[in-house]
Amino acid sequence: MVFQVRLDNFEGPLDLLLHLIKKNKMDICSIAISKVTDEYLAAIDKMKHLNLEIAGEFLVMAATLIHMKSRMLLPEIPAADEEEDEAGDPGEDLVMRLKEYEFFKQAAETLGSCSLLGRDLFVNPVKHTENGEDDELDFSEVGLFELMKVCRELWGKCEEESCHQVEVETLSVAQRIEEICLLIALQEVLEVRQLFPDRPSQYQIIVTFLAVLELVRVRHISLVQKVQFGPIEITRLM
Amino acid sequence: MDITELTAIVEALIFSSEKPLKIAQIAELIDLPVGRTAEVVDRIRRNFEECPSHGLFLAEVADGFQFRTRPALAFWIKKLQKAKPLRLSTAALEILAIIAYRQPLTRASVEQIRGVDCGGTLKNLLEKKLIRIAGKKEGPGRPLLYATTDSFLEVFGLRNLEELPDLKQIDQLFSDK
Repeated sequence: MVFQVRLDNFEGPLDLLLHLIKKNKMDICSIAISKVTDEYLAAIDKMKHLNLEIAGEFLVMAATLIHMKSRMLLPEIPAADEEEDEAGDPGEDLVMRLKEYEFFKQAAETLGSCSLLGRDLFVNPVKHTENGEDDELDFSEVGLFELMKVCRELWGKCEEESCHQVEVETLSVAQRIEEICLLIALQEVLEVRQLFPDRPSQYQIIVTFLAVLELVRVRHISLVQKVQFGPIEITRLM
Repeated sequence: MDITELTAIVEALIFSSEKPLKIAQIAELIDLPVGRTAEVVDRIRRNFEECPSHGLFLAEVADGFQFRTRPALAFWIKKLQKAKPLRLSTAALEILAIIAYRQPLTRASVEQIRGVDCGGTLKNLLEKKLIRIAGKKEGPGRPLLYATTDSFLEVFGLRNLEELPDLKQIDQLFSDK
């Protein structure tokens, strides 16, 4: 028999982390990374044990924690590593996120403890729709979301148009490669510009460039530019 | 019109209104200045507050006034009503809090703060009309922006968004960063 257990305890990785910090009576700004990381990983292990699908977000956080822990083990390199500086301190970033999340968690608790309409207090359920005096439609309750919902429903009902457009390939890269090979066989050196007609189409330009690049890749030709901004010459290699 | 008669009229108006009634609306209906109207409304509020035998109180929500049953009586009302009472999960409350304080903002911003996917709950909140789509954000992909609705204020018994708890604290927390 398969049991499926769902634990609603944690809203996400930040929630779990916050719980661990609170449990160990730490301050958000000075977390004992090593301890928290171990406990965090243990919690994930426990989830695996309970056969819970671990959301990717939990793993991302685990990676962040391990990254922070490993940074702490390494000696600090004084500002030489600019890239690292630009990326920012993952610890600082995490503290910011934890603080932010903690605030909203508290705000949510405060909101939840309000006397809620429909849960703790109620109103007179008058509806002024049956008056029938004016037939004006009431648009006030319809917003963008409702419109989108209707649109999606209709969309689902639509039969999918099955048509497939086939475009005739007027010039293929393979064809162009053959042409260039012929040209280069006749002439030892060729200017790239010579490959194009006077007013080439966009398509011609793209196909020709792809053909040239392919020929360079297979080492059939090489491209040489002798002067800066000068003409690019094609030389045969084989 | 003497004050007793006025009080009765305003009380009846508020009672029979579908939505919370604004002072300006009442003033227009009874043809009195806003200041006088507010006095009458306050009189009604005190009448209900001071007499514990009333099951109702006058709440000021979403910039208007509405009669509501006292929170302590919820048990009895639920016995009467067959409809399921409003239930909001922790996730829903967190998302609502984030949107309420930071609106308008995108789904990605909400998820960045919470660290988890919010799609399902967001849709649920839209269906409950606690949040609304408030346009699109300028920028890549033009994602939808979300904001709270008047229903949100009504459900949570707030006069306006400024009444949200501790708004100043969060501003301070993030302004120096």
